[in-house]
Amino acid sequence: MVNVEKLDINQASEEHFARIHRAALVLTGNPWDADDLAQETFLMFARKADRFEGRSSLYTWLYGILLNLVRRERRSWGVRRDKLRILWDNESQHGKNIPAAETSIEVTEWKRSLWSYVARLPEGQRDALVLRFSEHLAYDEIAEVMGCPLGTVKSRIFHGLASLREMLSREETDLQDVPKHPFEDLTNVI
Amino acid sequence: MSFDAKHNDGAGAAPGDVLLDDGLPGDLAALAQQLSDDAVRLTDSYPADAERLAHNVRRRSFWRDATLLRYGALAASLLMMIGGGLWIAGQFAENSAGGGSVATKPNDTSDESSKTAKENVSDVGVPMRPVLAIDQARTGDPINRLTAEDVLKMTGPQLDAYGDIRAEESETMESISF
Repeated sequence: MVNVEKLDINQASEEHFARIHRAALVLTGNPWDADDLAQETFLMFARKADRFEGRSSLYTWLYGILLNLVRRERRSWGVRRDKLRILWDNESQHGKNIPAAETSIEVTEWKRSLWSYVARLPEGQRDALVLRFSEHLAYDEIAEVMGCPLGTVKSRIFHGLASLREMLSREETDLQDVPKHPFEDLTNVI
Repeated sequence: MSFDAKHNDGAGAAPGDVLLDDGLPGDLAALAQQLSDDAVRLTDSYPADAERLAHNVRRRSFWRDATLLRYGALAASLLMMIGGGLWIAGQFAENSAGGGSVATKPNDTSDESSKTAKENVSDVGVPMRPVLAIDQARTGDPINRLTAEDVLKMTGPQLDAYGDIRAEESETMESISF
């Protein structure tokens, strides 16, 4: 437990900034958004520190703030993507050639990692997997952060992993269907 | 992206099964391990400059507070201005309503009792100076405070005299026209 009276932003950021940043990085896939979200989390903390009652660990409380912010950001990303899509469609109709606005800015490293697949999972499963396998929180701590029963956390983690496995095996199958070389058969004949 | 096939040898679990990490079937446990490794690799690739970011947080926190203060001061000033305006309007309305009968139409001659002293005086041609003097001596307020009756009471002889003249004039006119 943390002594609520002694909470201050310097101490909190020293102790917990790195882990909050890592979770943000894993969730968003790029360091710029991770920086913003991690900073925003601590700003929120600075503003609402008086609401922290000390019944849980400070870092679980911070994870809760981060997940809320990520959720909010994802919603706004969705809106932005829709607007860009409309813009793109309009421009295409006018025959203008503009760069693909939807091009992802996510970094290569993240795309190569399993976390890019986790990002496609439903929100509850995604958050549970991040808190468990990136942040290594205990199940009861995850339940506390997500505000749900312990059984739900276990279930989300299990089904999240199962969905991930399915996603990967589907992708593997799709890749196998594509010939390695367009003239592969011909070269064998020759 | 391909998942290492050597891990896919674990026993499967029925859908709906709830398992702890230790009890995860082999393939899922391996996935979990790979997730963990990927998180470490990502963090190594893009380490957080915690000191710089924490500094940013403190700076932004300060400016956000300062902005809130600025907006607070602006809102307080606006409220004070609105309050002052309302108070002035209230005072004006009170002054206007406190003078008793006030004519709304300066040239309306249909209702004699509602006329102000000024209008009556204009109508009948009584000199303004005595009326002003009387009014100011009585109330200290502008001339509109006096009613027609007041003026009649105080300047009776002059008005009566003027009335007689008017009566004579109208008789003269009648006699001319016939």
